[in-house]
Amino acid sequence: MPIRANDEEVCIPPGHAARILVEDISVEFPIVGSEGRSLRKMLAEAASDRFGVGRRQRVFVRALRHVSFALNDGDRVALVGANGSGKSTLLRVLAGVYDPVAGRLMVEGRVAPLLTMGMGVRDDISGWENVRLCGTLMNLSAREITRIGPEVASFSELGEFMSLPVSTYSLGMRARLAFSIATALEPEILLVDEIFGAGDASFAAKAAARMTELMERSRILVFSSHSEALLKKFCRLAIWLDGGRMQAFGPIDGVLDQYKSQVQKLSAGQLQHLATSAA
Amino acid sequence: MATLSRPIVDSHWQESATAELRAGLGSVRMWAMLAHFDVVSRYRRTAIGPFWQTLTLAIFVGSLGFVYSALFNMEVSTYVPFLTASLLPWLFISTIINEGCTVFVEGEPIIKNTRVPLSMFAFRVTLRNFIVLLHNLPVLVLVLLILGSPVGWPVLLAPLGLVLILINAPWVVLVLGLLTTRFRDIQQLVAILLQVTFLVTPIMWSPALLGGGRAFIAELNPLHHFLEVFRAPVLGAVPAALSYGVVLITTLVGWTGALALFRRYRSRVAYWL
Repeated sequence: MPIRANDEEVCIPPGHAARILVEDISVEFPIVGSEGRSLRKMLAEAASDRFGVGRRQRVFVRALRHVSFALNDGDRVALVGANGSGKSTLLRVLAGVYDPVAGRLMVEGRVAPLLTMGMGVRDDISGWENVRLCGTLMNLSAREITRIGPEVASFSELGEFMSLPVSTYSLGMRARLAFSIATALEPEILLVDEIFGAGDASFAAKAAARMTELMERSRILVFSSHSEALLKKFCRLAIWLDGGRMQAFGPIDGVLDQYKSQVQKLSAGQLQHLATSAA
Repeated sequence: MATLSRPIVDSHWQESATAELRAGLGSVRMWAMLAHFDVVSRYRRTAIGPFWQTLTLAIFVGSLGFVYSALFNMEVSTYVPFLTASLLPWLFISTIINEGCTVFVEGEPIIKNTRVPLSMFAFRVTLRNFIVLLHNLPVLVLVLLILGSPVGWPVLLAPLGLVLILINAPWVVLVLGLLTTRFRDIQQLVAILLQVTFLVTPIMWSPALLGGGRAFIAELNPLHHFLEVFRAPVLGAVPAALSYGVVLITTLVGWTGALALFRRYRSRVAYWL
């Protein structure tokens, strides 16, 4: 499998270039409480190599298997694959949340993970207080937090509600606050999971515009989505994950073609299977 | 839009447990702010705020003091200061143990979404309970003043006792946090054990009551020595060398064990959550 998709060298002074190096990374999820025999038996019969049985008969899921790639400044990568193929896990590994069981990871550059809505936003404190808290958790300086405060208030259109506890907000308002805080700063490496969306229709348009701006200005983008149009809009490269394995890495059109043809093959096979079992 | 000034994620997966602990301590802005909002939000919309803690201890001491001094046939002026000086550190220790069990579960929204030093959450729990302890101190001072207990020079050793209790809190939280995140039953077990501990440790009763050859019941209990390094100085006595010894050894053994456990399992916490 290629370590680098694009062969042209990116010449940016050292110390300023963003870079991600993923070498032979594997991630396994323990299924805690899986010591029961029936579950093991069931999984054994499923005959999928996605599951393994480790020490003390504990079942684990192979979430990522020997994934390797390198991304350089300017790379915008789409993550494609079916549900459960490892896209979100890979994003979390890049964000530093999951420590891989094997392999090497190097991330150079300021990372902003936009993985789930409302990271760290607390119900029991006000909008303003959430700006301070989340800003601190995002490792911003006191000056930066002061600077983004009014920005968040105006972008989220929360107005007077900024002084009220988040528990008084509607779901949409909560989403607007979380989105505005999470995207208030411009990161070098942007990790976006598709689940990350926000607010009602009018805010969604605004949020989309900001995401567009963020994605265009980030130096490395890793973007997981099922929307081909969105992926093609932002990304030149793509990684196709299947069952935790990297099936392809390269220019987006080629990878998407490969992915789609496999999906078609699969569904054709399923149709045939259904037809035979019906007959 | 502004630009971030520092990396959020670094890639030192192989950093040592002590390095991660230093990073955790260094993230003081994060854990101080978390602890601050923990305390603030708990008492939001109450009239007297965190002074509810003060009131709780005052009510506890006021009611227990009179009943138990009669029960144990002790002077109120001897028993109430003893009870207050016991309850103050005990409330801190027991809450640390209880909240240590949920430390990582509580931090899940953060742990699952961004990379922060895990040990930071242990310092957060320690700090927020220390803030509570500070709110309880006035009760002790009032009790000593009202009942006119003579305070001698040993009282100068009381802050040292507090420090000794305080530096043990983070390792307790780390160990309980790691264990309970993996084995969720432990939290229930700890809650039961704590209730029993409250009764078998000399908190409401003075170890002097044991009498004869039965003093070992208190001496064998490390928690008794943790209470003593604070309680004895407050009541005008120098803590026994044995108490300092037990506390120091527990500190060393506890931190060593916690670091070993932390080194081995901290990267699993995100998976267990």
